[in-house]
Amino acid sequence: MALPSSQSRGSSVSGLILTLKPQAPEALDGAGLLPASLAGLSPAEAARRPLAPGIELGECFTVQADPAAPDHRLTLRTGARRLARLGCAMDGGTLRVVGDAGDLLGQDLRGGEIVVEGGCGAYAGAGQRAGLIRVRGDAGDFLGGAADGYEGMRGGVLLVQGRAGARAGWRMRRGLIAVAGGCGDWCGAEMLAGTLVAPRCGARAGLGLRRGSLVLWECPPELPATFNDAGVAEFVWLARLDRWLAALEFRLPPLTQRARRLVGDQGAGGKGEILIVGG
Amino acid sequence: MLRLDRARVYDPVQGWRGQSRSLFIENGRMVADPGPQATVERVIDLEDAVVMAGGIDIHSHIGSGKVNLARTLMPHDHARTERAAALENGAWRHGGSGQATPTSWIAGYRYAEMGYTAAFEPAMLPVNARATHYTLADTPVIDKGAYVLLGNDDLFLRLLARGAEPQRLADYVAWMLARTRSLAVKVVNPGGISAFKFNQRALDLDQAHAYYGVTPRQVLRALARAVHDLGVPHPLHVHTSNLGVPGNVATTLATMEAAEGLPLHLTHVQFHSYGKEGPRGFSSAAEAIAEAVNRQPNLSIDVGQVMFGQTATASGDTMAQYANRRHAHPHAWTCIDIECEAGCGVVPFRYRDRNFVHALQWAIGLELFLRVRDPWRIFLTTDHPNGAPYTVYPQLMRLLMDRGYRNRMLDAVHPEVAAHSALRGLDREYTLEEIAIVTRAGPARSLGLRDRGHLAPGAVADLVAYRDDPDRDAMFARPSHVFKDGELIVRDGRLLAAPQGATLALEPEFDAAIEAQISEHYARHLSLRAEHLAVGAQELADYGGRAPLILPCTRHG
Amino acid sequence: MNQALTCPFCGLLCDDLGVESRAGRAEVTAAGCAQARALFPVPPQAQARIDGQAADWRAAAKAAAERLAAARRPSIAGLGCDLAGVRAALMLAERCDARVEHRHGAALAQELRATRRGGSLRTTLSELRNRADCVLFAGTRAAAHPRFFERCIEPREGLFGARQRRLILIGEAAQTAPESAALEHALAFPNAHLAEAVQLLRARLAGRRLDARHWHGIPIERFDALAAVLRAAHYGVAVWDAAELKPPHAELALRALYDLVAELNRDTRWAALPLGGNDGAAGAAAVCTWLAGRPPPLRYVHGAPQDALNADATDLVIWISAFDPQAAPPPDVPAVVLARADWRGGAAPAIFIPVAVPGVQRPGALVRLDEVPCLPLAAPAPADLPGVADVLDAVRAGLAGRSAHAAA
Ligand code: SF4
Ligand SMILES: [Zn+2]
Repeated sequence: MALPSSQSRGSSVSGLILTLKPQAPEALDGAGLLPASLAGLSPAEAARRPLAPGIELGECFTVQADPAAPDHRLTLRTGARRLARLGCAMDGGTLRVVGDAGDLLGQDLRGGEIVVEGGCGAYAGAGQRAGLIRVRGDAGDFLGGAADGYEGMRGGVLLVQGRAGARAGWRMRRGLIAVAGGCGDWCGAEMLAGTLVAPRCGARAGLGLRRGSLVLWECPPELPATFNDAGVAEFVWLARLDRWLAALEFRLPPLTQRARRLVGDQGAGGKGEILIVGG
Repeated sequence: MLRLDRARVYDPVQGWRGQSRSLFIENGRMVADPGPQATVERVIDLEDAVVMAGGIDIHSHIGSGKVNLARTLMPHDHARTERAAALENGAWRHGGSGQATPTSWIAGYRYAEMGYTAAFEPAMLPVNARATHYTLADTPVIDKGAYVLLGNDDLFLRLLARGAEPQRLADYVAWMLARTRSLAVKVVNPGGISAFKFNQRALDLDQAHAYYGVTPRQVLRALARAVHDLGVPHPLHVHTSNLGVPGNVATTLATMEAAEGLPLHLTHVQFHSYGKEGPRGFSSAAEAIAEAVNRQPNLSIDVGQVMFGQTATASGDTMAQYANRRHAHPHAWTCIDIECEAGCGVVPFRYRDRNFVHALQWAIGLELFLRVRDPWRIFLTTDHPNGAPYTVYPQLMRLLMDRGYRNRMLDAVHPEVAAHSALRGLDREYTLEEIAIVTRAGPARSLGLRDRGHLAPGAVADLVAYRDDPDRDAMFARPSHVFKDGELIVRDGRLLAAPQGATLALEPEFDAAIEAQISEHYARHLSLRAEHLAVGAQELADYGGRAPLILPCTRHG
Repeated sequence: MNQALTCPFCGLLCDDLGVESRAGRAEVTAAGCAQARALFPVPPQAQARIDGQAADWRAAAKAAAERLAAARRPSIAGLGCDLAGVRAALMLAERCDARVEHRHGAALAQELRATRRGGSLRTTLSELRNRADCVLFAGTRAAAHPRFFERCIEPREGLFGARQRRLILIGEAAQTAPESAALEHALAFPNAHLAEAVQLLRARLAGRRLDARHWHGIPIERFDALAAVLRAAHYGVAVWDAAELKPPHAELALRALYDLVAELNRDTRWAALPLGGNDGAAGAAAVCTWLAGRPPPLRYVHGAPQDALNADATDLVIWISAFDPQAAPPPDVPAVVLARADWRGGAAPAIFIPVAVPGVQRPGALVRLDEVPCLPLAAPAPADLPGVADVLDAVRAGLAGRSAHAAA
């Protein structure tokens, strides 16, 4: 059971550092590793928490105190191993991943912050409702996308410093995705609403786009023929977006208010847009 | 021999109303008190628990292909999984997943764990019969059976349109029943599933099918007569036209009359008891429906109670399900036109207590339960999973037995429902005896299961003991003992063993000429042969089930 | 001679074959296609082997159990077998936490993912045969189902009188020369563009203006003409085969096609007929769904079924191919192969156990590609070989008490 930090017992008031042991089972699901469920526990207490049915946390991780960190902060040292579903349904606190994260990072995230020093697998932010995910490295396919049983991203912010794979923002509903290193093919496919920002992306961006905005600096190659050019105009909200991203210390080329607006996908209702910054 | 002592038995067939007594079991059957000299190998003291025959669910979609479709459309329902584990007798309890659409192994365990020992799949398409029986064979512990879905197939509609003799139609029905190993006949939206294929989007009782010219009334009457003439114990099982449509009460009442005195079972009647009064154009017509049931002794119904939460609606009624697609939650739905035979539609759905329509549906179901006077003609169902998964039955029983609880729940749902439903004014509380009727004795009698649903000597020793508890939900959710064929399989809500149950079926006779005609029709027009619809007895055993147990057809026209 | 037997060698499950047994081998004597004629004859016997050494199949199953118990990430794959075989595979996977995959899992997954994300109206073979007056072939000519045209398209005399069908090809299928004058080649383009082409069609059906005058050299007016044809159908059927579209983005094309069908269906009747189901794929999907809540690929974790997440490297594969003699297991992984007696799908595996072919040497059942009909398989040439389920059950028995969570 999750213990809110205000009710914490035990001697520890610091955060924890968990280091993945090489002999940990392959099919390990990281969904249970949440700051809130370990907050206030001593390393010894944390090591005895069940991680999966029949497996204690200590069997898979060495647990240390992190005196410099507050107790709602959890650091995972994963190295190159890709644990799936890290931060799943997390609703507060900070989860720092030193190394890589697997698929479904921050799935169904409800609050708090996840920082991944390395890269992450597919479906980061699937179903995310709120909160912030930062990935310093590259993200896999379907960033903020609709994993099975989940909708696409529904809220919150997802920031990727590196590149994102194919189909970023797939079926996204709300929220903001920004990718500094650019996205792969089919970016914004079947997006329902929300905003995706990237300097550039691969072929066929916006296919099946229903609503929502893709903000790009370069017109994507092979733009679907179901987008119409609505000309160049001023978009005040782009300046707001620019200030907001700056406040989050996320570095992108400057966003001007002026952009070319491509409207589509006309096959899917035609209420979405691709904005090409600068026109 | 096994003796159960201090059993407060509720057996409406024998008129037992909870007096404490001993029960005797030998070779999987109930036996009479053998007297003091008899050797009793084992005695179990039930400590004055309430004892009933095992529960029987007369209408639960646990085997047909449409449930499998529902599973594929509901990955979130299958995210929570159950582990496999060894049972006490060394056998294996398989793993599985799903709440609203449980996988078949765990579906059987869950029925057993709440004291149900039989459940019947009400909508089996002939072309899907084999897969349905295999799925039922993979549904352990409980006895099972299936109702064959007829009345929308092109062969039947042709025969009817050409004015075939009732005997011919009865032969056709008998062939389908026997070959597909069915226990009863169901009709869904009579003629309407076929009409949808001709782009008709609605078909009322006396509206003509665009191609065949026949009306749902004709389809219904022909099938009801055939079922009756063949001596099929269970009356024609009818899902009437206009499922879920506000104002459909008129169609439902007219359908009841259309039987012209022939026995008819109307299923999930809650979904067919809607008026269109009031500011929202949706109102309860439960009173009119219940009165009609009370008046016409040829009718029985099951309710299809709605309970709140996520579930899936799965029906053969493509016409209705296509119209319902916009309500899909999550937003994925499937409708299929099937093999010039029927169709199916799956629409995942979430009933919310704060939604006026959903909450009124809940109240309408309860009104039906409380207004129909003869408990032998109303059966407890949620139309699993359409109104709710069957695992809500204990809570539903509490709603029927505990007026205070019912009214507290009424206070908690959408505030306008109390004003638009007479529920609060209905004082009736079901007795344990009435619960025993609507959940076992009644369904068993209706299906012709003579040795089930009661505990008289000779009956199958399927029985359940519940520790008496004023919280009827808790009581019915966790029986202290469940016996299947005389074997103790559940103790304190925990499964001890998972034996294979029986598949119950009929084998009515038919004239050989119909076989030739059906074969010719399939070979000439369809993409499979009629003989391949037939499910073999050995084949079920080979797959891991049991050869079907054939019940007699009793009545003759 | 056996009349009207079911052929298990593609998802169509034609059930009108004549088959005779000659010297213990089945031969098709009526109605089968070339594929059926080639695959029905299968030798009645073959030698089970452990590391190349001849062995009795039970000993081989026991050896397989030992290796399985030692494996960390086993998988049961291929899964080309009947319903009973799939059931046995799940019961085994449950005990050793294996991954379960089907050879055509990628196409299955594309289809599944598309249907989970919106509405889908579908139909079955008999409906198509009797009702369809317009068939849209999207990126396929049904080449993986040899008798599809013969059995579903060519019969003109139907239940509702003679049918004039318009048969329209779009995508790659329209790029090659017609083999039948009845086929109209509406729009030719690579299948990779199918999703976009369908969105164009939807845009024009909805009457939306487009800047583009041409698309990949095709004038937009051609889309308008096609839209008019589709709209004029009384019962239209869109046919595709996910295996002919490249994953993972094929699902976008399938989703767009389902949306197109639903939009057409607002005024007239339309439905989709996805092809597939070869090597028992439709049956595998059905059994896995009713027993494990999801089609393959799936995996068991502590005896509970889950979606297979990452395609983790496996260290032992139990490869099942009772229908296709050439289906090859993944390379570089020790393999236990359960296959038909004439299997030649690659280098000698660690363990080989010949199994009876359901529908030829042993009775069984399969699900047809349109997912609803479930047909019986007969045994016109019975052989003294174990069935897939027999072998898997023996492996499971050999595993008793060894699996990681059995004691838990
Ligand atoms: S088309 Fe397929 S099912 Fe039919 S005979 Fe050929 S291989 Fe067998
Ligand atoms: Zn039903």
